[in-house]
Amino acid sequence: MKRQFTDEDIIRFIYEEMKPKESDAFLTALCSDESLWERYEHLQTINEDVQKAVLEPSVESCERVMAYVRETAPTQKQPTTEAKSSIRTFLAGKIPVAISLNAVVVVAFITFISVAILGFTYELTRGAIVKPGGPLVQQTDVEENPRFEWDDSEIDEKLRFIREGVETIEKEDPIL
Amino acid sequence: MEKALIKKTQDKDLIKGFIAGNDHYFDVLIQRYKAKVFTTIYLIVKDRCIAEDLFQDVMIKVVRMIRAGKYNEEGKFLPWVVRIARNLAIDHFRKVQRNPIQRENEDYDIFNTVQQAEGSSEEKIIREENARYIRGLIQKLPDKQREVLIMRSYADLSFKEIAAITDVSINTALGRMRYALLNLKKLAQEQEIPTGYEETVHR
Repeated sequence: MKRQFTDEDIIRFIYEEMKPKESDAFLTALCSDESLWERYEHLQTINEDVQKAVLEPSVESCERVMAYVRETAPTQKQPTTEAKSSIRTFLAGKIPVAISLNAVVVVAFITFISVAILGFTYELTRGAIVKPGGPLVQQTDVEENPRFEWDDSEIDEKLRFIREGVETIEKEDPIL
Repeated sequence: MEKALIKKTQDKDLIKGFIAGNDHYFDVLIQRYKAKVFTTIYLIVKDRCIAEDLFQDVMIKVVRMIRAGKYNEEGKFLPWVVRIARNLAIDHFRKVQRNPIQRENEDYDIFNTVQQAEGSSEEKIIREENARYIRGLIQKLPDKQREVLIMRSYADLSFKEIAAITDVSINTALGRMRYALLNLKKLAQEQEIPTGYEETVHR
């Protein structure tokens, strides 16, 4: 059965809103149906006139818009406001934590190094450490320093003296 | 060579370039669509001076929205701009609280001489006379018919999109378009046809 195309169909064809299959059927009908052709030509002519009726804005209007574009152009390619905001939020939360962690690590490292250096120096001065490649620390070094002299017999003698003293006191005064 | 390439560049690529900092790309977009956007605004507000102001407002709003990342590149640029134009025109009417100024002719307008056209000066004058005459006829259409005609012919909106915007069925939008075209012809026949228009109407 031959399809009857309405004016609305013609308008859809003119504005290319028909599906390809429907459009093919319309073109076929257009070739054989004189009445359809006349209606199509009539609407198409008016449509073409409408398309010609465009009006342009003044040059000044366009220039003003472009002046605004240039005046408000970002100086560099910058992140959008949202991106800036999110970066700020991110940094605001992370920077103090990062700084604190770094500070703790640095302080601990410096303390460790300082203690190690001091200890090493102390031990070196004390003579407990053998210098790499150097001679063994002589026992005489220790003997030269009276602080490091240690005589067990002398202590034993002193302890004995104290014990005797205590025993003497206990004999003389049993209450104590 | 470069200009020719830019002219062929798609809207979405021009917008990307503009966002990246190339202002010239926006100029290309303006040159590409200024006539359709301006005609749409003009046929809504029916006043050249107001249309000039609104055109600038629309384009500045478009710039701001693109820079703010509010343009969805999947959408069509021109229909998007025209929607903004339509909304600003409606806002304008709300602000002034009065009907748009009706101008029977555009003779007062010095800008009408600034039309880009090819051919001899006589041909240009005839073409502009025809265009002016047709715009006059479009302005005499009933509002709903005029609205559909503008949105389809100048804003490149599909009948489906027009139906959604105007809150009617597609068949109603198509019917209004049909009446708009037929009424244009009727109005042209009722009036005295100016020189030149006769050639285009009665071919």
